[in-house]
Amino acid sequence: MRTDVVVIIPCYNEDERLRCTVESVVAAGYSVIVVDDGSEREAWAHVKTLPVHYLRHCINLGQGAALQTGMEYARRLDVAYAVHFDADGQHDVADISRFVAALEQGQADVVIGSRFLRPEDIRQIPFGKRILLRIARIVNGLCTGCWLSDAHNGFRALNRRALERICLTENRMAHATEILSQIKSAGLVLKELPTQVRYTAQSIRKGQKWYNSLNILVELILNKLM
Amino acid sequence: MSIHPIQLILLGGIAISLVLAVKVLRHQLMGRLFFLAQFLVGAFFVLVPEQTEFMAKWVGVGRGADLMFYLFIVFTYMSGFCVLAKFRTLERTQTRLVREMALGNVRFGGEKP
Repeated sequence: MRTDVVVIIPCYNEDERLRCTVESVVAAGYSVIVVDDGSEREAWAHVKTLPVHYLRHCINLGQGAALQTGMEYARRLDVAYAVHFDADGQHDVADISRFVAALEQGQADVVIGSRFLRPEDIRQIPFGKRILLRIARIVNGLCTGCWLSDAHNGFRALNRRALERICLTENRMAHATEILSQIKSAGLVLKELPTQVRYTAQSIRKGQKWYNSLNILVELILNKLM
Repeated sequence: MSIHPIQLILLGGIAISLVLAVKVLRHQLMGRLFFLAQFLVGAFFVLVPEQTEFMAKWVGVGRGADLMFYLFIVFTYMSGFCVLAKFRTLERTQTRLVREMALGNVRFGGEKP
């Protein structure tokens, strides 16, 4: 098991898919931090027999808050690399080694996955979501100065330097834009690598709604003003 | 200068608001000054309402009542903004508390030997 790499999996009201996801990450040889973001029924029941570090928010704060809690705990574990990974099985465990390798080779401080670097990955994205992500890319670029191909990909790998410098204050989905802003202001090197996201009916139903983009934009504006 | 009943009612209302605001904002000097400014401006225009016409003409507004309405809108937006900022501070404090509780109660999974 690679104890220098920890995979942070935030979750909220996940079912057995959480266990499948955690099992696959553990089987790949990585340490896992599960952050239960105030689920109505504790996620502990799904993962207690697996070798994980389990933290729980007593109330639902949002994915950004859960990731920040995971990162603060990862700092205490003294790991070299931390990976952000979705709980619903959308991300591919096999990509973790490729992302971490890029960090180990010194290519970047932060590696973020992109669904728009390979045609076969783009084809997997539902059409409506593809349009939304294209618009979000422009908003992200204007707000942060970071022009990525994929505006909101939750699959990220950070080295120790990035782990210590990034401190998310956006509790909900605006954290994905805030992290880019902090990467830029901290002078961290950012790289995108292709990754596939597996969409199921359940993940699409649970995923972001189009109007959340407006909420994110308002949150970013308010954060800049206050 | 004769005092009309409506002036007494308005002065009383804004005086009560000032007392409550100062009481609630016990250690917040800027908040207290903000509400004190509102009280002083409000009391001034209640006691000498004809000055609203003079002020309105000076700043290019048609009527004194219109000027009062515009000032009311500005103060309302500023107050709303202050409340929103306070909510965000409270949210951050709440997040910090919830996070510390989570970090202090970590559980470790895995088969027990």
